[in-house]
Amino acid sequence: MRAHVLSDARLVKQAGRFVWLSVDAEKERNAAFTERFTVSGYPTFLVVDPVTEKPVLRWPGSATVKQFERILDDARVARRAAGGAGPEAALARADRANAEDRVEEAVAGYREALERGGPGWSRRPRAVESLVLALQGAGRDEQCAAVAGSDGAGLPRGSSFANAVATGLGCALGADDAAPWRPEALRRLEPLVREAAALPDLLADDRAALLQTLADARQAAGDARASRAALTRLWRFLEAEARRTPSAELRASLDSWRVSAAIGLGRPALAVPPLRASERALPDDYNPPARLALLYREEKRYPEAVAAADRALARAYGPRKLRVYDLKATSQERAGDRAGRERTLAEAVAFAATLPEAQARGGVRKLVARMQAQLDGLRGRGG
Amino acid sequence: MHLLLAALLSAAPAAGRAPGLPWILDDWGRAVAEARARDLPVVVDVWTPW
Repeated sequence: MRAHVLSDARLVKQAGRFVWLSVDAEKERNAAFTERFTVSGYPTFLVVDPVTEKPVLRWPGSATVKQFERILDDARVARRAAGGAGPEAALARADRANAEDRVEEAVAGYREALERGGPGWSRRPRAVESLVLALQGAGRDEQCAAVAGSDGAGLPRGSSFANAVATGLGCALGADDAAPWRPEALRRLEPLVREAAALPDLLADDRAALLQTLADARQAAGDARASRAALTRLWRFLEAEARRTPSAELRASLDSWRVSAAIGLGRPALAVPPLRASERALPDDYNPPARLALLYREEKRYPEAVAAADRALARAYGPRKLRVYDLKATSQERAGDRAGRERTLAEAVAFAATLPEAQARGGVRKLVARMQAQLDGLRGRGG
Repeated sequence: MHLLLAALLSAAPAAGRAPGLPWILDDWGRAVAEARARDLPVVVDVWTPW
């Protein structure tokens, strides 16, 4: 999103309509902000009313320039809308409720907006997309998959259709294997995602996500051959993108997919050359060495994994630095380096103690507790 | 998928900024004050460098 959309010159005309704030959630100085405005994933866009200091719209993930412009337009409506019987007013109420985590109200509002707007309503694609995303965010996998398979399937073929059906398939894949609704949802949604992956004019990141989701779906179906074919298709797409992409930053924006495809194909070394190129081109960015550490670890090249993790640690900050420590410690564990692993875990636990309370919750807290237990175990056995 | 692998793979990549959008960096107080003065909503890009 940052590399492919926010750098687009077409957004310049929006400059004077909003105040623009960039919040790096990993930075300590933003802990109070992230505690107040919770988000479940990154990136997330919030539009906040400065008078009430409440969000009026929340958009998780990516959007095309055209979608993003519509979202911004809708956010301005959501800020002003207090009542009204039209679909736009219902959508605005739903957006506000969704932004404030009032899930029931949001879901009811999106359904109301869709009903009032009818099949030809210009905001229907975005409203369906928002409804599916809200259901996913609330962990309502069955409803998420059902709406994607019904309302999503009926959308015009474009970015909203692709996001809605891919999100729905993700909900089905993430549900309990024994859920009785899951097989039918997978059968319904997988062909729609395959159709979406063939659409023109998608963001490269979105197309990669679609191809990865198709590989996951085949894997879940026990069809390893087709899963591998989907990953091969993803890898070839990423290679083509690298050839045609002018800047290192744009190329690096797809590095996460390179890593997942290479590991999924059982060939982590495939992604080493492009990741090394990203590290050379973006020397201040800790992502390339962190991802290289993962690739080297999966290749069982443990000394190189530890060295890459050290390069990443030298540049990293915030709670996610703990995940690099974890990567380094697991590499040392697999290499049989008990003393090194103990030192890494001790450093990680000491670093965690410096994090503000707001940055040390949820998954971070669990990770720290696990690392502390591992450290205690090592010290307990070692005396 | 391993938790760490998922975390490493799922997050947003770091990248550049639109030269034409006047981003305020990591300063909610300044952004909200400016927004009140101009009666404009605040667009917040909440991201991580992953």
